[in-house]
Amino acid sequence: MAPGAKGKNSRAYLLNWRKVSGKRLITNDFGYFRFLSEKEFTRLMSGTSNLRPALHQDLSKKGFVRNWMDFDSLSETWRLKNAFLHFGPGLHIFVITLRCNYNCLYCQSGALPERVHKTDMSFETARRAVDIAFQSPAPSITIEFQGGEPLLNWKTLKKTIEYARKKEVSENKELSLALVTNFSLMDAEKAEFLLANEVSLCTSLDGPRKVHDRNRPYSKGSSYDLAVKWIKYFMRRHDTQKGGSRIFKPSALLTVTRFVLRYPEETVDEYVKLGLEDIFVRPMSPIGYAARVWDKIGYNSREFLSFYGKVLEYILKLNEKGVRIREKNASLLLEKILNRRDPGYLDLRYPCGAAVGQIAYNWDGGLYTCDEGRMIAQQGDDVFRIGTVHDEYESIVKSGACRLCALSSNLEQQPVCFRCAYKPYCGVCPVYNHEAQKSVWGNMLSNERCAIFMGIFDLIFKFLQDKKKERILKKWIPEK
Amino acid sequence: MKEISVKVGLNKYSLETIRYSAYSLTDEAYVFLRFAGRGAVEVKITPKSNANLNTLRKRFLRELEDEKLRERLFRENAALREFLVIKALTDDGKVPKTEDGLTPEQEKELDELIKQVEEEIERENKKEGGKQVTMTWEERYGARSEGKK
Ligand code: SF4
Repeated sequence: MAPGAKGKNSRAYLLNWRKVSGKRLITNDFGYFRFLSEKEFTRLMSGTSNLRPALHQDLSKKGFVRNWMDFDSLSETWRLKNAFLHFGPGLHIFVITLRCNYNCLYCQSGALPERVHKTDMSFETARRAVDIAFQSPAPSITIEFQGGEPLLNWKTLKKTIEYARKKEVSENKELSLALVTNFSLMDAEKAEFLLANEVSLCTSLDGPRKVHDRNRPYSKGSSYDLAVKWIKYFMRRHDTQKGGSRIFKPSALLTVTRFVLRYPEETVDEYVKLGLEDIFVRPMSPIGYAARVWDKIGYNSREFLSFYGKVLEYILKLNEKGVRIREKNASLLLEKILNRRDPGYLDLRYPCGAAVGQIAYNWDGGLYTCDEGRMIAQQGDDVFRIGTVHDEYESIVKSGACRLCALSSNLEQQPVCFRCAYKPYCGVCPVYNHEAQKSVWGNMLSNERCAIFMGIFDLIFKFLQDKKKERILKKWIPEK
Repeated sequence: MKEISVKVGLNKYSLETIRYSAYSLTDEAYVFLRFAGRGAVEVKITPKSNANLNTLRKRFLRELEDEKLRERLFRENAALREFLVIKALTDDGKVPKTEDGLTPEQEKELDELIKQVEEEIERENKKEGGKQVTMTWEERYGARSEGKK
């Protein structure tokens, strides 16, 4: 008897549920989902014999019916969805200097004035950091240079890039290099060196000039003009490359402060105008310095979600007209939801990326679970420290902070998350919880980060019920 | 101070179900649980701000029903779930795809297999120190007496 045939009763396999736009959304461990009417949901819960054959068949294929489970295929789906469990840290963040020549309103990285040279990373420290990064069992690693403004410590940055590229050959491990910069100190010579070494470039772009310049004051001119000038330059180099080293498209990050909230469409237009195909609408977190100025630049989950919804609606409208632009949060989540694959989103997985997915290397050689953990240390709290560049890799991943984060970010142990329909696609942040709720475990019932992601998931699943929107969203991710 | 009391029968809901349902109100209320005789628990709900008492009560009752359903689903599937996760973590990942339905023979085989696996895991769990934590420390070893190392 094929699945779906009448008369064969079975029970439902473990699933979570939530009401989304009048339907019951059900999800399971394998990352499958399905919308049901109330009646269908009740029937599924009381035995499956009364379900329509087509529905029974679909639910069986997705692992919702315990007597109709294809063990091999479902465990394979689970394995691919959680592929990161088999690798070590892939992302290695080097804080090349804490100095910065901008005075960004929210600067979460805790940057110091340009003249305070003592917070530059030495090449010796950077070299040891590279050695640790290459000890990771991950088959490919990314070293991301940031700060402060990393170009202020160009000497160390340059030598470290050269050293890492040599190490890539001797260790036979795939290496990606990325630089997060405000571009203010970029010049032709630096640009040539970075392109020759296949360093991908990322800057901040907070929307239209009036918002960007307000978010990122620069004493020597418009921070917006500098960002735009170099984005165009690297875009042109990307578009006109002719073999040799690969030139990546530059990318930009949007930091949503309260001032950005008023300009959803203008912000998207700014990205489109520059040929950027991704806009990452990331909520800000009240962590580090940003916590101190939160009442001036912050917002609550409702305000953020209203902005986010407008951005998403607008992008879909542009897509309909043939404009290429995606929102990155949504595309990462769609990869999880529709393809059941891990897109490498370290913030939204469990356990979270802290130390097992990424390591932050501070200028002084201190190692942290992530960059946010490092920022907390700058405020005098070392709870997320996992060692120093003088330690062995094994002692770093066995550190107390690493275990603490792995435990507290495990959604199986988070009472609300364990029961949440978004569990297969979500993750919590122990650093956020520690800062906002004074416990690495937090309480999701009153957690603003949870409220934001729940809102984003609600919106995506609402859109997935709309055929036209679903068709567009499916184009945002690679076909499976 | 305004508060509301709800008496919940342990013959209808387990203590675990009552506990989680109480926890689920903690964004809006303080919730105090205590035994009300042998077969019931008294749940005292005190709003943290000016949340409506009746709304909180309704929310609590709805959560009890949901949690009861979840508890049943979890109990029925715990062993199978553990099997699937262990399989996912230990397989080499080369899996042939089966797109169509199963034949009657395969269906029978599958039913047998589920039964066998469940029995096996059940047996494992019964052994001392089994992998799955199915009871609290107190339930397994009794409450630790004062001074005992
Ligand atoms: S963090 Fe919130 S949205 Fe995410 S799984 Fe937990 S409860 Fe659900």
